[in-house]
Amino acid sequence: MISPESIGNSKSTVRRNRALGAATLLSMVIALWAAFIYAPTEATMGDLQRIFYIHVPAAIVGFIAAIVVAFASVMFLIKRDLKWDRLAVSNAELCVLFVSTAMLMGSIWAKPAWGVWWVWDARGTLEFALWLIFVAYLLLRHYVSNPTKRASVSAVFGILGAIDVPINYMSIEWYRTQHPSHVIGSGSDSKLDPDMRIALAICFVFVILLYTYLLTRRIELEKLKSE
Amino acid sequence: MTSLIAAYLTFGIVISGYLVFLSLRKRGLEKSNRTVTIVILTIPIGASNNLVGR
Repeated sequence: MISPESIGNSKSTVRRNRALGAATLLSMVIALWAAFIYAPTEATMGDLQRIFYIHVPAAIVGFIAAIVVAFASVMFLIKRDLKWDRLAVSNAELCVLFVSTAMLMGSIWAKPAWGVWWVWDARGTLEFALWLIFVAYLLLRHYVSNPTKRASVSAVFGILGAIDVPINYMSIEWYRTQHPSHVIGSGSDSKLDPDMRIALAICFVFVILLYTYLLTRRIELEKLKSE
Repeated sequence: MTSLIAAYLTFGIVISGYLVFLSLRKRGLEKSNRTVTIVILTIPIGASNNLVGR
């Protein structure tokens, strides 16, 4: 994980950011090849199922960002250091970004697959709730001018908001929903074709690299704001 | 196939839009920081000019 103090504006940081950007771009090309060419065509849905390779990693990275918000918020409440608040707010914004892409891609997939753009089942509702929670988190910050007070209020909100993540993750197992249940399991438990699993892993690496790149840029911005 | 392309395009547009948004915000902050520096530097220069004028 990136530590908030490791990001600055030095030459080495610029070089590292460029290398990370180049690695993200390269992984994007490989991910597109894996999703469109390498992965076999699914028997029922055909090519439409290829949305899966970015939709799922984007949703998982949205969850990861929300968990990092909670972790950074706890760290802020313990250490009272604003660097943890910078990490939290940067992740909150990325959580909104990745949950937005996951919902948009899911909606575009749902229309031809289910005949509707959106279904208010447990997964859809909890995903929308997660999005709303972190939009509210970002809005809340504009109403408190004192940086330390703002960080404390946001930290409590961030920790409570992240409670949505485990419930959201398990919702497709606990409730009967339109959304399919988990298809990724370990070894023989997996319902995915081995080639599809490899394609998904490649796309997941790309989305993680993209998240890391965006996070470094977002924390840089937050440091610039505090100067 | 249209939905597949639309989904990937949406992902690309949202991420690119966010990158542009980040760059614009960074540029805006750098400009405002520069303004603050100029103001901070101008105050003593102006004060010393006044003193010299007297």
